[in-house]
Amino acid sequence: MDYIDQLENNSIYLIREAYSRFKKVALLWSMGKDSTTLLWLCRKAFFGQIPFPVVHIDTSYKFQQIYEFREKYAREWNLNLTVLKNEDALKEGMNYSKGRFECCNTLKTETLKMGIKKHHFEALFLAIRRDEHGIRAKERFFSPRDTDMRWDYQNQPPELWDLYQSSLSNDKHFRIHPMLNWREIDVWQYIQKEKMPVIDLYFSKNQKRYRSIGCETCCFATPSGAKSLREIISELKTTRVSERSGRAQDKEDTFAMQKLRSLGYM
Amino acid sequence: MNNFPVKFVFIGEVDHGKSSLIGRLALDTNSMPREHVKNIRQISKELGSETALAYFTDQLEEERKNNLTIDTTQIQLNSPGKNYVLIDTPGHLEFLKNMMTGVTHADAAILVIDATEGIKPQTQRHAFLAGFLGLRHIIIVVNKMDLASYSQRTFEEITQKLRSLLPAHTNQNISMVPASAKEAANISRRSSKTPWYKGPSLLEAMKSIRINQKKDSAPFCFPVQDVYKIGNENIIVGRIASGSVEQGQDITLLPSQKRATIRSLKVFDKETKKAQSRQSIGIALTTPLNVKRGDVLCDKKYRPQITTRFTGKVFWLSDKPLGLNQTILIRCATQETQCTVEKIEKKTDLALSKELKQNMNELKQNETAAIQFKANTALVVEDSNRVGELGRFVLQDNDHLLGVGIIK
Repeated sequence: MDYIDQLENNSIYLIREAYSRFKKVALLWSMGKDSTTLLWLCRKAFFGQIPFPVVHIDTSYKFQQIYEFREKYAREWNLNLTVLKNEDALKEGMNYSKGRFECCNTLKTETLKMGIKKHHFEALFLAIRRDEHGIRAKERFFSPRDTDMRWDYQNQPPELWDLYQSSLSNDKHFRIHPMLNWREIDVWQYIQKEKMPVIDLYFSKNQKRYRSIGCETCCFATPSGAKSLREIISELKTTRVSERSGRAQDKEDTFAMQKLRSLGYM
Repeated sequence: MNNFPVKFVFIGEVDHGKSSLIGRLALDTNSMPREHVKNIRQISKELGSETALAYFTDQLEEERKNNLTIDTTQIQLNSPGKNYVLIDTPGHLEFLKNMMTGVTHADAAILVIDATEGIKPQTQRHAFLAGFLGLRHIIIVVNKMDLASYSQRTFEEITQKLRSLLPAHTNQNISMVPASAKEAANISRRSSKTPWYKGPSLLEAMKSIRINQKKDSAPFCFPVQDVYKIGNENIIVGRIASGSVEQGQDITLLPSQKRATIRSLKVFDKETKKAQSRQSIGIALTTPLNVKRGDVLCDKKYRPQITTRFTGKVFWLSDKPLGLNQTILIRCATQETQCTVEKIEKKTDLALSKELKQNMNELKQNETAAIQFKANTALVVEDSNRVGELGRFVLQDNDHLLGVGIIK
């Protein structure tokens, strides 16, 4: 078993662990490379048919390719797809020009909060990784949130070996992070190995590509000539540019990501 | 590229420089995106300090403003030919549970000691806990040597004292490195400031540590996570804790001791003839046994202990003591049952490293003891050196983890 195999096997273990400990679970799918990898791992964990809803938090500002990818693979993989949208805020014209912090919080975090309430989710699978952002490096595999979805990052439960804490008193829900130990390059090597589909925004056009995708309004392509999986992997072996350098919401102020995440952002 | 990274956890007293050492390693090996380095320089300026090496891992606003690590963090280090995961932990006693979280996800420990302060109670406690939780490799760094004029005498006084304090089971052939994170001495390369020191730099010492991958010659052992009904078939899922398994192999279901044969092994949409240690797989049996989460499948020739009474070495985390005759939930691999404390023996305070003879009817916070439990239902347990998963457990109530234990 090589390192990528070990990551896969441990993630599948975690997914099954969460599924056995919580009754109502769901997977957050943004159609990006990470959450599509997580979806792939869930399909493997349950031998092809994912037994819980796959949720897309739709801000309505995503790239067109993202919506096309969603429709195509929701059908092909027979997913129980649930799309959540904050219709009221969108009607009132919420967009990034009102402030990126405000926009992310309203269209993503608040939408998720409403969705959790409506569907009574006890645990959500998310594809965050430690190497994406320093604040995510502090996360647990099973991470509790209170009723307001707040992350009490100063008082996280101990997580010894793989004996995860999963008590649900105080109406909490849990964030489950099966890919916390994966690095960006591991994800791409896995995609290559598994011949998984990915959105073509990740590949270079006119000497630029997206390393991380989300809303079209707040994502910027970074200089790169990588046109294939092989070229992306070789680029990542030497680059010293950070993965989220093209994501605007992280950069509003020094602790923007911490503030967003403590309020329940993914 | 697919080399397994070795995971190092940094432990030791508060303010002895664990986070700064990690920052120095990250900076000197060019492991950090340029933007992060720039960002840290800028934030350091805003918060009115020199470039704070600790900020690579101390990411919380509260951590930076108080110059204190609160929770454990992991970062990746890229060095030619080898990858490392560096796990930072808090030195403060209050955050011991976070330190232990870091330790149980590591392969080896780096114990950091401030040259001007020497060995503190927390230095000893952390060193002991790393050994207790199963880490066999340790590197000692005497940090802040710049503040001790790189004195050989200071270094030797500390390391000699430390040798007598290290738990007996730690490898005696350990590296002890005189270093300064601030002045980059003996971190990623050897320094001319310590001409009397002939040993490796920290990075060289890290490179020399070899972690043995699990051997497949161990007996097959598989704690059951769940049973899925796929089509008409019951698929038993879990991760192989030790050994390997083949189609057609005869197994025993524990604790009931019923026999069966492996009909097929499933991985995703494929069947496989053989699966090895650490693989997450699905198993279908030839006989329809009633299998549930918490059961253990084993090779028919292998018999771990099946018992309602066992002794484990326990470290107690909760501020409420564990009392004699108290009933508590125990979790070991996927097994869970209530158990009662029957005996408390060999009680030790970690910081003092001495046996305690008083109050033998309870175990207080940060104390360790050999505890005999009586479980409500039979448990499958094993020496932690043989099958790790069946040799370690946690003690908890409904909401909180209260203690941790090892079976030897």
